[in-house]
Amino acid sequence: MRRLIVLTIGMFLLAAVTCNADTVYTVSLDTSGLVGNPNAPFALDFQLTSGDTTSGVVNTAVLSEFIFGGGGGAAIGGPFPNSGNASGDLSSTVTLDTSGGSFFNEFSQYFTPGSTLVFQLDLTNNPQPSGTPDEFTFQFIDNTLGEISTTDPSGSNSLVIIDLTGGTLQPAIFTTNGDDVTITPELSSPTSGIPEPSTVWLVAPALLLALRYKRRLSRHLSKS
Amino acid sequence: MFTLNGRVIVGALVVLFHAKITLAQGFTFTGDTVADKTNWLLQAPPQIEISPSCPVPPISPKTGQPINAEIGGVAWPTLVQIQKFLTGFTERSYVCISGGSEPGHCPDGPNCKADSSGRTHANGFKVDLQIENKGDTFSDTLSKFIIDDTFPYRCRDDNSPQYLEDLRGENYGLLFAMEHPSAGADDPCEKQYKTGPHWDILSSYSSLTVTPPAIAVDVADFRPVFPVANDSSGAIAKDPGMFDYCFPQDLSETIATVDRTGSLTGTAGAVIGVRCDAPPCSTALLVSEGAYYDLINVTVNAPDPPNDGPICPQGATTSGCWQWLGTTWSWNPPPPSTPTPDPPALPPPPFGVCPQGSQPCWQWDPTGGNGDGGWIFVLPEGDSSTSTSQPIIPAESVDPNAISGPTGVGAARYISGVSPAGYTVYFENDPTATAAADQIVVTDQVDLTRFDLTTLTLGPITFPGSPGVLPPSVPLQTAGQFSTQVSLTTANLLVNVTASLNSTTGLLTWTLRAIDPNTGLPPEDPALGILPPGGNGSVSYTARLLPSLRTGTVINDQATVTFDANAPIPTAVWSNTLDATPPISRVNALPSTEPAASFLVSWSGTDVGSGIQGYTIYVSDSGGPYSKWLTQTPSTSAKFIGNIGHTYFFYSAATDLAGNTEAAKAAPDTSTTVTVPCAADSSASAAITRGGFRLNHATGQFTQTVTIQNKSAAAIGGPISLVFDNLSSNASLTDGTGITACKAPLNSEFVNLSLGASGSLAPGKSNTVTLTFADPSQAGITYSTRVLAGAGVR
Repeated sequence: MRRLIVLTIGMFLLAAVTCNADTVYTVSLDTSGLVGNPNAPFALDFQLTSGDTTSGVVNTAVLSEFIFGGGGGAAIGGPFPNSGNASGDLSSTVTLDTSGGSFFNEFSQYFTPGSTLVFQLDLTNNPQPSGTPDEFTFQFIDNTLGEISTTDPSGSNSLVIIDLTGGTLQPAIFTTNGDDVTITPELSSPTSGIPEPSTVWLVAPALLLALRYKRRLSRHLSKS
Repeated sequence: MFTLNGRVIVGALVVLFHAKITLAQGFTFTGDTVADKTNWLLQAPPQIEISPSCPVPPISPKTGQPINAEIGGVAWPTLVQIQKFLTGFTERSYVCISGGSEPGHCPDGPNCKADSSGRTHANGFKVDLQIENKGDTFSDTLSKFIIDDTFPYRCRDDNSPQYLEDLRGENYGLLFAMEHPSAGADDPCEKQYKTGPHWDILSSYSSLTVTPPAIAVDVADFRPVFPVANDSSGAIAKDPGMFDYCFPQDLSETIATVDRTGSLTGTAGAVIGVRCDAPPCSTALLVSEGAYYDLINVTVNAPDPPNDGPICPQGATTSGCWQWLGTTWSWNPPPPSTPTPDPPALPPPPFGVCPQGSQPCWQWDPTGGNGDGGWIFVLPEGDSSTSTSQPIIPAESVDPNAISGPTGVGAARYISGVSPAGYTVYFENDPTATAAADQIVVTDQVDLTRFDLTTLTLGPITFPGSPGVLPPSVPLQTAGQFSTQVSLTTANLLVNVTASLNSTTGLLTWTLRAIDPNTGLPPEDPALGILPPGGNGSVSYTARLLPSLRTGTVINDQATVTFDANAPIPTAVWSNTLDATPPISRVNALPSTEPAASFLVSWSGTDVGSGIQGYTIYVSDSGGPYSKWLTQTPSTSAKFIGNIGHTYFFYSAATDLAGNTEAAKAAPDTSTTVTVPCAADSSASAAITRGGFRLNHATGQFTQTVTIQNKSAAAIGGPISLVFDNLSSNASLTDGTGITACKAPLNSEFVNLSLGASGSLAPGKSNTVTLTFADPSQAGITYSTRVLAGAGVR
């Protein structure tokens, strides 16, 4: 019986460990060039696309702790309706994920820029077996309802592109060269985040089982 | 401010300028306002002068330039209106004033109206010529009250220069005195327009004279207007900077038209321009004044030309027509007519002047002869030398007797025999002769073994003093003997002309005999005759060659000429060689397949006789109808560009210099099929790394980067194509190079890599392409990849 309990606890923990740990970045931008810019209003645009909608592989991007550096902060609404699995608000947390085979997941919301923009980016990193990775991108939208152009050679005018290949994440960072502003995002060194919610339910039963087993063991020892 | 010394001050043109009208010498005011105004109008040439005391003109907010130009658009239309007004308002409708009083006026009353801002204004004005110190206060019958509810009322809040411009824009074409119809004498409305600070606007007008009594302004006084003809129908569009005007009142009236050059024409004195505040005025003419944009425009027609004759098109200086120079008509004479000379006289034209129903003939070429004109001898159709661009000087020989025949080709004078051969026999009385020739006999022994006598037809017969004799264009055998009699214009003589053909011997004989009309006998005076010394003439005929003749047959012709009792003098022999055989040619054999769409086709041919002039190459695409690929080319090879998978059939048809053309062929000379190999599949040599998808909102398309790395030890030769097989149906590649059509799977989109100068991908090297996908449904995009490389079809 004891062996069975230990085995069960081990299986739960193993399952939790095999789910890749999140990678967390702190993204910082000098947005002072957007203050008073005639191309206002500006919006933040986050995209998370699925490389294979049939594989069942799910990735998640959580954006939080937005700081607008003295600007007016988040405004109501965005230039585009949210697509796919996208929800939240810049004043709190924004979540995008590819669950349910959702290919295109986008969140956008207007904001009033201040001197800086800082937020936390929490990404899972699960590879797609078909070869096309899930991808997270971040870009500014201006009053043309298009992206502020950047040095992104692909022409998609993203500021940050991160392919979730399962390996070490290698964010591609670009600089705006449109709207008469030069903004280059800075990403902090990645840190491991808290277990993603999907693994908590695996760890928790293991801990509960271990706790019960410990009590039972100590009770058994005290009796003996 | 105003003086009376022989002048009437028109403080009237308040909106446009401060002006004065000079009266003729001796004009006396009677005190009768109506009479004074009328007499002034009738006796004095109205003249507008600009007060030198006018201030610096304001700057137009629209052009940024001083408002000091384009008097033509302003002054004399106004004069027209003044004059019409003062002469009895026979055309009152042209005095069209819209606008209103100043804001705040006319707080109530039957003639007050409220504008869109709720302010009320006077409804109409009184228009008059005010004579200073005469106490005229709009009471005489020549003062007119203008009221028309159809014109909108506008409010102006100040007297700024913009205000003045706006006034023009709002149809204040004539505002020289006004009175509120229902206001009292102290109505500020009235004073405003009499003495307002905006009376003196434009300072740089020069004088402008209108000649009475006709109100129609001379064309010379009219400054051009520049309407905008904006479409193929010639409709006039409103210039963006142009204001509308309200002349005439009848919006449906067509006063003028405009042609595509922008020139206006219309009735003299007409005023052009309509207000366009409401439909249907959009159908009426709108005229802009060009650089100065918002003034009244008037144009008049040039008067009728003084004499009969066409009028030159506008803007053209063509000849033979009347051209309007702005003030006068000028006759542009036609170019001096150069009478066409007669066809060459020495030797005379043998076949008449074209068109005469059949060739050969003489045709006048006005550009020939180094521009002096010249006669071109046009040979029968089918003859290889059908025509020449250079005038022929027939009289190159002064041999008293001569014969000419078909020019032919080359030294042997090859002829095809398709057309009749034509011969002319020339004869001349030697200039040193002491008597005129009374009788001329020309014989030509036609070769029975060469010619078909049943086709022999006489040509023109010429001699001095006669326009020539043209026998019927029927075979002589059919017509029998030809005979006619003509009178000489140079002497009192008749000439009996006969021609006959001995169908047995082939002897063709012409006889020309002079007859004294008084005696019926040959003239006794030796100086009289058909051919005086130095005179010349000719006879001619045509005949077809016998069809049985073979190529290489020599055709000779010779004639004899006999004057009176003199001995016959033979001409030289005219010789031609028959080339009745078309050339033989063929397209050289091609391989059964060609590995490229462009391949060389060659051909060759031979000809007996005159030689090959050119080849016409026919081609059939995959068994379709033959068409000419090359026509009469002297070349013997050329590159043909076909399509992959198509089979091409070729044959040639050559034409020789004599005009014989090879017949079309029932079977091709050769054929070939363009078969280009498929490109090689180099997928095993390439490692492909895909990036993720992202939506570009500017384009509405998804972007993806894909990197191809050469993982083999050898270079991958270009072009290198990345193929997208099984691309999900919801997406399509928007910047693809093409679709696979050779290497299965087919119908897959592909893009070619940009390989640079090397044209290949070296071992270990990578190449990244950015793909854009249209995916309107925003569903997932999936595909598999292949790499095709090297030459060949994808």
